[in-house]
Amino acid sequence: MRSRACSEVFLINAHRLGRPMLAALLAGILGSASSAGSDQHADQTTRVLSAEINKGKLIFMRQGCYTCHGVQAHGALATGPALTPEVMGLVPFKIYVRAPRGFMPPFSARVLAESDLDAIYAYVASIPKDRSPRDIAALIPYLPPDP
Amino acid sequence: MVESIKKIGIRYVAAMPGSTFRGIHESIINYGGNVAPELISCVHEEASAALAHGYAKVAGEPMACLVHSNVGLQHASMAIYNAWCDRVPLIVFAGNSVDATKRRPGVEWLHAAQDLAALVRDFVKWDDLPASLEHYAESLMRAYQIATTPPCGPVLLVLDCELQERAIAQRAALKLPRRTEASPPAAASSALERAAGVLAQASSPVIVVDRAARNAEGVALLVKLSELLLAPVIDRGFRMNMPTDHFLNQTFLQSQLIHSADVILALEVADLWGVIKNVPDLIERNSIPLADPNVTVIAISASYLYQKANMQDSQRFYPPELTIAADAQTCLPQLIALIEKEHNSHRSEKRAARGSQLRAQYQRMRERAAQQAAAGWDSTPISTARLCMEIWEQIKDLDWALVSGTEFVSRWPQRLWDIRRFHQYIGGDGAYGVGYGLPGAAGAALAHRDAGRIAVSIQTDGDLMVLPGVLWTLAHHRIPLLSVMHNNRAWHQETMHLQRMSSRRDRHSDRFTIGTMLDDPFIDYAAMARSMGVWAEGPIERPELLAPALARALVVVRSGKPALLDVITQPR
Repeated sequence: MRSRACSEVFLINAHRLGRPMLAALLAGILGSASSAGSDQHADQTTRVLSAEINKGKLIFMRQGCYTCHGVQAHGALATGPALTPEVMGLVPFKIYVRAPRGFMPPFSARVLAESDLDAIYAYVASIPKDRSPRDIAALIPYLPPDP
Repeated sequence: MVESIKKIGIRYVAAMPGSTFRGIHESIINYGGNVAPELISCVHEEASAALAHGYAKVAGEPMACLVHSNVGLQHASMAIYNAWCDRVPLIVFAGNSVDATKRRPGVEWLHAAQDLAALVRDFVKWDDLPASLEHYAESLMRAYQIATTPPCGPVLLVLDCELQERAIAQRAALKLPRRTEASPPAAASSALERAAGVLAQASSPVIVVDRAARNAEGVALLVKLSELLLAPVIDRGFRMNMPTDHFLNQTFLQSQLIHSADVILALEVADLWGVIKNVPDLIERNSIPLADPNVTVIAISASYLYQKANMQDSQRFYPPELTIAADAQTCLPQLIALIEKEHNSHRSEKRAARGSQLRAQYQRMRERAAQQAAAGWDSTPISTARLCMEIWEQIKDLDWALVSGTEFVSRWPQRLWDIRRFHQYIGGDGAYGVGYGLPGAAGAALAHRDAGRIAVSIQTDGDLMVLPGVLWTLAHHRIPLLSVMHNNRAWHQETMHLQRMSSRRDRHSDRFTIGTMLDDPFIDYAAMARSMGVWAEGPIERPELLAPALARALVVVRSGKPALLDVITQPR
């Protein structure tokens, strides 16, 4: 993950977001121009997204999201749920961070700008899907027989 | 004095030297030949007491520690408090100069107290200051009996310097009392009959355990009880009570099980209120129910027989429908027999049908754990799941034991290892007093060494920094402990507390690292270990490097020496 370029990671994982979510994220980052379709614009989009993902990871770490959810947002038993591989929608994500229903402390716009939330979301959405436990020898004994 | 220690069967005495116990120190090594008891050299009194704490949980018998007056006992006090909260017997000897006219000017006055035991009286089960050798011998036998009778706990004997150092006038006249052990407190039959009746009729019984099993027999009894009732067990991790590969160990379904239970049987549960209700860390601090309001709770615990007031380890008061003041393990044979009798007269078909449902539920619980373990499997820093499973892969076919708590590694060992035997897991510190981890593991490893087992500790970095000198004790005494570090380079729990506070105050949510991180510079734990004679490697940051490093470390440990691997890990 660390050695892989963020743009590549995003392109690999962009499909996981689904079209509506991707459109919402792009709209947040690029504004209305994201609907343009030229190759040049696609390159620019990739660059901007790469920067956004990098920025998102920095904020994810700086704001301490990782302390409860893990550096790769994979969650931990007693501290915070996994944020991947099922990534919630951008809008509910933002609503939840501002006013969590559970034990998570809220993060207001004063300490975490709207654009920071966009970037964090881009980072979380870019995290590659993990290997299946069926591909990990140590975990196979706990799984039901392959159908 | 040493004869009495030998008579109660104390095999080891941990100590950092101090002049107020020089008399007995010299007697142990010369009169006693430094054999049973053997002196274990420590570099801090907290380490001495914590080492004795860990040892007792594995050996099933107390170890002793010798501490200096005032300064030594104050150092030891944190570890004594851990043992108190963890209900572990240990025998603390503290030197003291009682007669003021015999003290030399200066330091001997600074290292003397009028009532030395007052420093720790709130969290020892009993203490005494013997005035004669005969008094000492009787008090030591009493101390042993009190410490080892449930609820177990630490005891303290203050040893006057004069008493230690004076020549014995009439040795032949001295009598050593017999060592006697009290049978653990049992319950009234009528109370157990009532409990059996309620449990036999329950449709969704749940058993919750903290320190229910005191030995292997306790585990076997709990398995039998849970199978008889077909009741899932929630093992809260303070001891190994229920094998993790048994389908009725459904610890990680606690929320749903407590919510749907009609009867809860709590065996030696320290925080019963916290099982039934919760107070989340939100500003309002409101209580929220976790169980059905009509649930019937039966609690069996020796803690109802002995509590102290000042330290609040008794937790919030909860009134069960049936409270039985007795040692839970002692009650189990009779309770099992009574339930068997009830089942013979009222066989429940529903109960029989529950079996297959519970098996499937257990299988899903473990499968879910495996799926969660796969998350971040290849990540850097290394996930705690990967850390634990790489260890498991290498020890599972050995005669192994885990000698550290698992709370800070998301309880992966309980979720995925097959922990079957009582000695394979001993819980953590008892009072969340940081600094127990390394010495507690060292004491446990000492007992495992004598039994020929491989002891493994998952060692947190913040804890190691409290008493790193224990590394030297491990090397000096050839205690073969494998310490695998969960090094998240922080006092990680505190980072989350800081974030909660800054969030509540709506300011600077990015400054939680100040005062909570162990960085700038990073600590080179491997170098630290090597400096004290312990084989070590690290820091290991890439997951694929972990397995070969573990294999190398295990070769060292199996040769009878300690080893440490510094592994850089995810926060939890």
